[in-house]
Amino acid sequence: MLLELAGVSRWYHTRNQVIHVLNGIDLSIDTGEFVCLLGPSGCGKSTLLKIIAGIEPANRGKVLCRGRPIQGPGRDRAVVFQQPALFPWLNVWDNVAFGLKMQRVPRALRQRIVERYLELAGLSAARRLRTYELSGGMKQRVAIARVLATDPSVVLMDEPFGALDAFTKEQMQDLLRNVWRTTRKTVFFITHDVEEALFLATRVVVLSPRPAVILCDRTCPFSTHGDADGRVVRSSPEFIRMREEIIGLIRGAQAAPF
Amino acid sequence: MRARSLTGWMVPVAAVLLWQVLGDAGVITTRVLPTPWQVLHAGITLAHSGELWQDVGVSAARAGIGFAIGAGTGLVLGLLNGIVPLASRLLDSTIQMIRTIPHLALVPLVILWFGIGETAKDFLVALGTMFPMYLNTYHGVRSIDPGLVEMARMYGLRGFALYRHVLLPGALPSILVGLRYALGVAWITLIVAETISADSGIGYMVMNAREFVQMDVVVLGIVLYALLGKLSDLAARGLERWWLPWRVTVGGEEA
Repeated sequence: MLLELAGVSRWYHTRNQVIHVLNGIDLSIDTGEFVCLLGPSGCGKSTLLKIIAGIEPANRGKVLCRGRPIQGPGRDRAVVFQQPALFPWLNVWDNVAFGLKMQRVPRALRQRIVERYLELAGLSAARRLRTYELSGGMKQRVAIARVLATDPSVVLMDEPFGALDAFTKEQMQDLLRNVWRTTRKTVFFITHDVEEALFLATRVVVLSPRPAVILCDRTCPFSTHGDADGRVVRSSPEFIRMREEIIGLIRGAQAAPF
Repeated sequence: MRARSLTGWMVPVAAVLLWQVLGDAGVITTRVLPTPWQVLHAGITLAHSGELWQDVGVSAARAGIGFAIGAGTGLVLGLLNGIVPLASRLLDSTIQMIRTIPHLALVPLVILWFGIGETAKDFLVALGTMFPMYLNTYHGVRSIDPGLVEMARMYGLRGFALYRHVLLPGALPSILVGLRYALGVAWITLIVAETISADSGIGYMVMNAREFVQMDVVVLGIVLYALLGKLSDLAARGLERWWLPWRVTVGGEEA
């Protein structure tokens, strides 16, 4: 098992009360899975991702990566945030190459790897551009290429397409799905968009409102077995049926909180 | 672009020409202001005798040494306090307190301490340039996008590598603003210090000329200060263009 979370709880102290965010989360993620974590906003999805990334500690419970407890950020767990943090003083190529350079990967190999992921992300023509010359979607593609280039064990994505317009968002989903079908990287992806989750994931995990528990955990066939064309998948009857089912589940949980 | 930069020169050139014409016509008497031609002539004479180069050299050396000490200290303190929270808590409020003292008010005290020699000038210039450099460096490091630092940590960057690859380039735009500002302060400080007391340098040349009512040399000194100030500002702008090609300023290159 690549990632193992057992009984993970997290709470915050405010001035006069304790806010329970996560309440005993059990979750195991295997190599090659694309797990989408769905849930209403403010339910603690990002907190869970930060715990896995090692940015925040869990108050209780076990968090293991390859059987070892997570104690801090590490290069085996790379994160793509909603706001792509690109280095403005580097161009696209150097941003993608940054992590490899820091890991002292030899130049020739570095060039091959960067070329490969620039091409996968559709950025080959943009390699010499500065970050201020890029659109929001392109920046996010650079962030994804940069993360994939260092070959982490798992890629953590925190609503990476949340700030993009609807049209760009759909393009990015198609791109990410294709990239994943080629690389089969393990991905842990947070979103509040049910369609996005179903379209990308091999497995969809739904969290309840705070204090969050896992409402359901379902395998999802559309990314592996679905058509290569995104539009065909999104409008297929099975896709729509499953979407309605999960939306119903989230609505029900909000109506009757725990 | 060429035509545009020429447009900027039209007004100053016209003003100098008008000045010359009015001076020749006797509207502006030489007792008030010598003509541009007379100033230029004085410059050429002094350049021939070698006096000009000596005085300019002395003044430039004072500005350079004082700036190197002051701006260097400001830079180091700014980086230190920006990166190490303990240092900032320990030192920042003290520095801010000292900063409120106008450094030119220290001129009498500095003369008592160091006399009118080089040390006094270097000290004043160093004191004046330290704070703009410190403030801008500190602010530059503090205002780096925390997302970038988090990203770098995820790549395993720590200590010097983090500083070298993220903190320094991130703070550089602000550091260069401090540098330009400090250069301006350096020249102003020097003018005041040299005018009050000196036995060499441009200020000395001007005060000496005043004694003999050599109006052309007095104006020449003022023009020299202006030119040297402009020259060092141009150098700082050159650095900006060289180091920060990724910076876009609103409205093009003029900042």
